[in-house]
Amino acid sequence: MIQVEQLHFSYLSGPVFEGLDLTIHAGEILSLVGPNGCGKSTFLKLLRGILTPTMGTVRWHGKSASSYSRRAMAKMAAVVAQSHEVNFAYSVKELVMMGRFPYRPLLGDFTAKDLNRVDLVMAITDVTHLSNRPATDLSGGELQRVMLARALAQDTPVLLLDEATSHLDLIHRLTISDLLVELNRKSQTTIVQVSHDLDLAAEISHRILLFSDNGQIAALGKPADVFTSEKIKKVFEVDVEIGYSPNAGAPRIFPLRPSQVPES
Amino acid sequence: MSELARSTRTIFWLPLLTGILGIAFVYSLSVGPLTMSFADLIGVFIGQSDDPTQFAVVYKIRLPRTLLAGLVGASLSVAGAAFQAVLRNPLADPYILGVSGGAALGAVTAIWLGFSAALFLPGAAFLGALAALALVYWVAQAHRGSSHTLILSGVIVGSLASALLLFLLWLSPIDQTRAAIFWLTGNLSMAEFRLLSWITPFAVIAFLVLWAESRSLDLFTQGEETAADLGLSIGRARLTIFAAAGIMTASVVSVAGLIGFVGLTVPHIIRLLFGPAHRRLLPASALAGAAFLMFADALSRQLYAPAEIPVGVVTALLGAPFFLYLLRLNRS
Amino acid sequence: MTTKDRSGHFLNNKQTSDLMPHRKKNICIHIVFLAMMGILMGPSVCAEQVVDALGRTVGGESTPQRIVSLVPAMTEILFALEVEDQIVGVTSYCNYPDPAKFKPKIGEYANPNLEILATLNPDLVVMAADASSPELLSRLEGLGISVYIVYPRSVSDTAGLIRSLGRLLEKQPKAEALAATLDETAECVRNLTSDRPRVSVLCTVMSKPLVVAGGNTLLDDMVGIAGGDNVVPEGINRYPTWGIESVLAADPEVILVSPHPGQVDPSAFYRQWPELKAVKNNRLVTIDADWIQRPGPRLVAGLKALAKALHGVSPELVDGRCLN
Repeated sequence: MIQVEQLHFSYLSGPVFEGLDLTIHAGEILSLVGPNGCGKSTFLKLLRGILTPTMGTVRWHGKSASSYSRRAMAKMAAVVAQSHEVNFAYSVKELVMMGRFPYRPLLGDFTAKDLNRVDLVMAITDVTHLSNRPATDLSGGELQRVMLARALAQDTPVLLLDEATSHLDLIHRLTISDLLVELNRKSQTTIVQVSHDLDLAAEISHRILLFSDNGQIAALGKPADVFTSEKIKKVFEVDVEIGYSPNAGAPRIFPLRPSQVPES
Repeated sequence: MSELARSTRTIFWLPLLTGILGIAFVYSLSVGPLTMSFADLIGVFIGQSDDPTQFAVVYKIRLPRTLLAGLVGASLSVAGAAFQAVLRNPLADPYILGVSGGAALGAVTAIWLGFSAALFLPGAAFLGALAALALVYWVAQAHRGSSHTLILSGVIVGSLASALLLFLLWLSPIDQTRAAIFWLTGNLSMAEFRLLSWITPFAVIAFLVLWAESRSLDLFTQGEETAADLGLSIGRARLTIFAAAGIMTASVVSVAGLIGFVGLTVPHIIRLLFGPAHRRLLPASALAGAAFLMFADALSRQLYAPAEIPVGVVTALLGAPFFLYLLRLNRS
Repeated sequence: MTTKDRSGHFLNNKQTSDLMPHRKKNICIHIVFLAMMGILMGPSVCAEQVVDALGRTVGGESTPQRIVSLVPAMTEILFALEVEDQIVGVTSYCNYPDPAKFKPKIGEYANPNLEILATLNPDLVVMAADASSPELLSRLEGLGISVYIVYPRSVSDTAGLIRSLGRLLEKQPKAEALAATLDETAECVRNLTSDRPRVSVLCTVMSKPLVVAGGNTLLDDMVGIAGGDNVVPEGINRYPTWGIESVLAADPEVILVSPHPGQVDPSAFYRQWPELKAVKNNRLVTIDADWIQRPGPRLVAGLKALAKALHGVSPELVDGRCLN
């Protein structure tokens, strides 16, 4: 559904991607992992056309991402970022309602359909009871659920998450992960997420894309194939032992302190 | 925030603010150096007064002036609300993008050239404001119109305009300087129906454009990248909003000079009371801004009658304490 | 120019340093002499100490020879006192009499160019109290220049000022003549109009903004002398800004519009308001602003013009009465 071909991109400070190829399949959960500064967030921006590649293309359903209007793109992909500006005291319901913006007619207002969708996603994300609370009064976990609700209100086949859970408590990280898995299973939502939580990524993802620090694909494939101690060592420069999660069988990564590394 | 906001954003803001506006309107019509009873006022309105002076005062002075105060107050408040949202800057006011400097420069150039008559002054101020706005937008456009660049180039264009302004004032004889300063401090004494008919279309169209963009304004407050992800064409929306808010400001500045504090404070107060959603914020700010400036102008005519004090002084003296009180009340 | 002092010495005032010690001594003697003789001898024709509008004592050492006037009206008085040659600098607004236009200009009255001022090496600067900051005063004094501050707000203030300047500059006879003419004209005009019904008057200074003259101003005093009542009440501001409604509320019989030279005639502005008595009765009066707003010798003309405008008293009648 999304094809990335020969993607080149550079900031003024230097190149980030030099000829990256990737196909993202409909209905998969793909996690992008890699060291800081390797270009994961940039990659998400290139995917959704916020940034334009210097060479190469990103295609959605065969058409270049930049050929879609922002409105059309917002109907295909919703984004949840790591942090949000909450300087204005919108109520939770008003914030979620913003997710219906791409469906709004030019001079009209929201319809019953919009309201139904908003009620539904607020229930799914368990924020209905916060409906009238202003954004300025929410805790981090609550706010992140509201942002997820807003993205879901966009009713898109693709969800892009940019470290959406990294600064949350464990419990919130787990509940949101559960929610994502369920969405993926029930609605075949394609999920592309940037994550630093390798274990959780391994557990929920169909595929993992491991970036090396110069924007190259170090590995791409099933979690068990990507998270090997050699590949992790190569990319993160950390020695690890790989174990397995007792219930799902997903790989678990146990980093070693330098003193624990066996001499070779 | 919010005990206050929660209890008030659901009540009927429209009848409440319309009522306040009505009171301000009647108050503004009934005060002034010419002593008139309320019965006199009614008499003038129903055509029962045979005193030509009362008739002239009500219809040729107080009515246009009150309407102008309303239009200026409403426009400044709406433009202020729009700029605060687009720039995501609570300190933004309608003058932030160099509109004030440009208008002042245009007006003072007209005064300096001796064209102080009739429509020359407002026309020159209007053109100056638009020129400054266009320059700011053009410079910021090179940086994809980020809000930092806009504010920065607004400040620089504003400073450039003030420098030129000071230079012109320095060149001008003292009488012209006083006329220019009088204009710069802002006043509504130029009010007449001809001017009103000149700026009302600008204000009304600009308001409707901004109101139609109220969902876009909501999105802007979430940050530009988020707004884009939610489906907003940032460039188009920003240009539309700047053009509308800028023209709105330019048209009222051209007839009333620089009246401070209204455009900064009124949107904040309305946000505190009724929440930030622009669908409601814009019309509520318009009503409240109109009422506020009518009230302030009436006070400026009444307090030291027959002398008048600058209305900008009254807006600041009334607005600042009330604003502080609301801030205090809402951050417990 | 030479002057003769009471001890009989002739001093050439244009000579400078070599004569100074000698002169100072003479003047000291002179002051002692004056202190003894002043009261007995009547008006003196010598340099005297005078007190200015701020209560500061000015002069007394030597007669000022290099004068800078920062007030157009004072420039007029100085010319009338025939000390033209001693004036070394004036403001860019000093336009009367004609020769004043050719004097070196030191800028505007509120902020003269101190560098130009210093190079003119004045020994006296005449400055208006309402246009001078304490900083400017102390800087001038720091340069060793004595400063005479004026603040005339009435005809009699103006006459007193002319007399003081006369004493300071040793021009008493001329000053006395000028001041007496002014006083007598005022007295005549007052007498000629006192038995007539008072006329209510609005004195406007400019029309955009509408600045009017309130109480405690020269215009207020002039109008009072000429048999008019200023409709502007005493207030915080001597020159308040009015709205047009205030004019309609006060509805004066006469509106005095005094456009400065080069300004648009503001009469058209008032003609938009036929409800005004002054407009209905065609009593918008234009008098040269410099005749009635500059506290100088031309107030004589201003008083006559006012008497004619308010009560139809002809200038000849004033002249005739004053001669008696």
